[in-house]
This record gives sequence, C-alpha cells and structure tokens, in this order.
Amino acid sequence: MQLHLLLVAPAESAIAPRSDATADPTPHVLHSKNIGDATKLVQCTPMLAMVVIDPLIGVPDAVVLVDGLKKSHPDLPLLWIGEGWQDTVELEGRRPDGFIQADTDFDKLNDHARRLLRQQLYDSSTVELVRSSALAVLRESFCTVATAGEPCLKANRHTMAPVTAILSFCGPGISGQLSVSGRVEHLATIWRRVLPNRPNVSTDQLEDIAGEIANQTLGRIKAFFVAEGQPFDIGCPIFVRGDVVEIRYKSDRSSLLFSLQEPEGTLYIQFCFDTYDPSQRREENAESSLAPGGELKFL
Amino acid sequence: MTKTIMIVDDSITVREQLREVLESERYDVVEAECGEAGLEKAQECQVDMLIVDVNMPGMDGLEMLGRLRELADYQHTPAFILTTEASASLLKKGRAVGATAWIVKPFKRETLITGLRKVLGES
Repeated sequence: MQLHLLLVAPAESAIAPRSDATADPTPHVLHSKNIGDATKLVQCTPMLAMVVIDPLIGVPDAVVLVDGLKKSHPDLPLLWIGEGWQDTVELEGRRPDGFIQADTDFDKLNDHARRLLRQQLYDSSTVELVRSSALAVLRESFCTVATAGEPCLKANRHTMAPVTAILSFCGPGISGQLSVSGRVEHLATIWRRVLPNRPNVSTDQLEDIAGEIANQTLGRIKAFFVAEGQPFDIGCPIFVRGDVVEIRYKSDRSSLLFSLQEPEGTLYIQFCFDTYDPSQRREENAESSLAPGGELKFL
Repeated sequence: MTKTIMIVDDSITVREQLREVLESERYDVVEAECGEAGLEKAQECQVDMLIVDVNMPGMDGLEMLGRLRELADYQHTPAFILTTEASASLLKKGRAVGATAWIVKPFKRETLITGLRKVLGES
C-alpha cells in the first residue's frame, strides 16, 4: 500500500527523509519546514494519507497547525513527534491522532504511520476485490486492458480528474462510496472503443461511461459481500465536473485509491467505507449470485 | 414484420450499446431512461419485448415490470433483466414480477441475440 506523507519538520529533524529516500517509492514523502508551506501542500495534494508534525518547527506553530488542519481537514490523520503536545491546550478536543517518540528515525516513523492508518485501513482481500473488479469491468465491458498502480490511502475524497462519477452504497453494518475519475480525452477514447460507430460523444455521455464503470465495479463488489451475508443497496450516481474538486464528506475513513493505467490515459478508482462492521455479517443472509458476463438465466 | 424492443436503462452507454446490437439485427428500438418513462412509452407504442435494468432513479426496473404486467397488452410480453444485480433473492423477485430471463452485465452479443430470438419465436 503506497502512502503519501507530509512531514512538517526542520531540516535537522531526525525524522527528515534520508537523502536516498527519493529512490525508495514507499512511502512518498513531502517535506515542509514551516506551517505556511505545510498548509498549502495539504490543499494541493489530494492523495495525502497523513501529516507528521515535528514540534521542533516551534511548538506554538505546531499547535496552530494541528488546530487549523483538524478544522479544515478533520479526516486527515495527524501524527505528532515527541513530548511537546500539551493536553491542556484548549483546542476544543482537536488533537493529533497519534504520538511517536522523539528519538525515532524515518523507518520507525514509516512503520508507526502504517500502524496508525491500519486502524482505519482496508484489509488485503478488500484491496484485491476492488482492484480485480475494476480491472475486469474495464476489460470485459469497456474493451480496455489496464494495469493497476500500487494502491494508495488517501485522507480525503477530492476528485482526481475532471470527470467523476460517485456511487454510494449502504446496508447493515456497511456503507461507503466508490468513484471513478478520468480525463475527458481518455473517457472519449474508451467510449469510441465500446461504440466505434458512434464517435461523437458529449460530456453527459462521458460522465455516464464513468458512472457505468463505477456501477459494474460496485456490482461485482456487492456480489462478494452478498455471498458473505452482508448485502447492501447501491444508490444513484452523482457526477462531478472540474479539475480537482474538493469534496467534503463527514467521515473519518480514508479512501483506497487505485490508478488504472493504459497508454491512452489513467482512470482513478476511489473506494471508501464510511461504516464497516464485519460482525454484522449473517450466515442466514448469505446468498449466491449469478456470475457477471452475460450468461442468460431463464427464470 | 419488424419487432420492436424497448430498452429501459438510466445509462446512455448501455442503451447505445444495446441499440447498436439490436438495430444491426434489424429490430426497432425504443428507449426509456427510467421506470416511469418505460411505462409511459410502453402504452404509447406496443413493444414486442423489453430489456430492463434494475437500479434506476425513481421507479426501479422490477417495479416497472410488475406494473406493466397489470396492463392487458403486456401480461405475456418477454422481458429480460440486464443489471449488475446478481443475488438469488432479486432473481426470485424478478420471477415474481414476470421477468423472462436475467443477465448480469456486461451482456454478450451472441447470448443476447440467441435468447431474444428464442423468446420472440424467431429461432
């Protein structure tokens, strides 16, 4: 699982990335040395998973940063280095989500960040289910063979590309959203693959193709949960237009983000649970499902 | 005489895919983007068969089919459900409202055409 971390720390901090860190793709680390830059980076980095704050930048500044980020990005996990946090600070309950000892190094920080995120994380079977469902839908329904990039955890639900379709789902102990984002030219290419005799395509149709990719992907995911005894209903799609649109959603769950790449472009699949309680699976609710792929079942 | 098939699906992509396949097989096509529109159009022009999605804004496909079966002209008109929904309980509901067959998206052209020729008595 790929992580994009923002480290707010002075250059001399023990947890600043090593000089060879850029050669290591996991995690991707952005480094800011002051709260002004840090705030800007949070705004413009939609796939950020966590902010790590070293109070060596100055405790008052670090506290202001925690306060500001918890107000503006309540779903973005914050990790605080060392002992400088005072619970007596009056921030109306806004505080870091985790603490790590000051004598840590970058590798320990990486491990700790992963442990913290795992509390709200997607297990490997969920990751594989979303990945394989999306790839199969593209291949079988949309004549598109893509490869999935390393999955990322993303702290918000901002859109990743100018055309986005979002589908919500909800059932006992399970709810969330799945979205598909793509660029106009790429979605138009997919449309022409599917319908080569209808090359003229409108923005509405591009939104629709993103919506149908989302619908069929979520349908496959649903079949898995139905078989496990935790069914859910799928809602109507919401379409969003605009380069990177900030979507504010009151949930403390981060999103699972995949890029699905092919030479003509990249689609982004975001999947997130708002609630997920596997203990609400009921054997008596478990059902078989027809396999996708066009077999005709007479009733 | 050319048979008329109604597609009821909120996805333009799916309607266009189906239209292309059906027109190439020389069927006339009528489209509706939701259950309410499907019911209206079915009463405006007699159709010989329906291909209906389940999840749509407003009236869903199974409810639409149930209401259509109450009309004298549509008590026995073949209707395929084409959907991402695949659970046994929904198939049972489909059977109860008089669906003829169920296909989980995506559809295969040959399977669809073979199936609809069969129910239209053309095979």
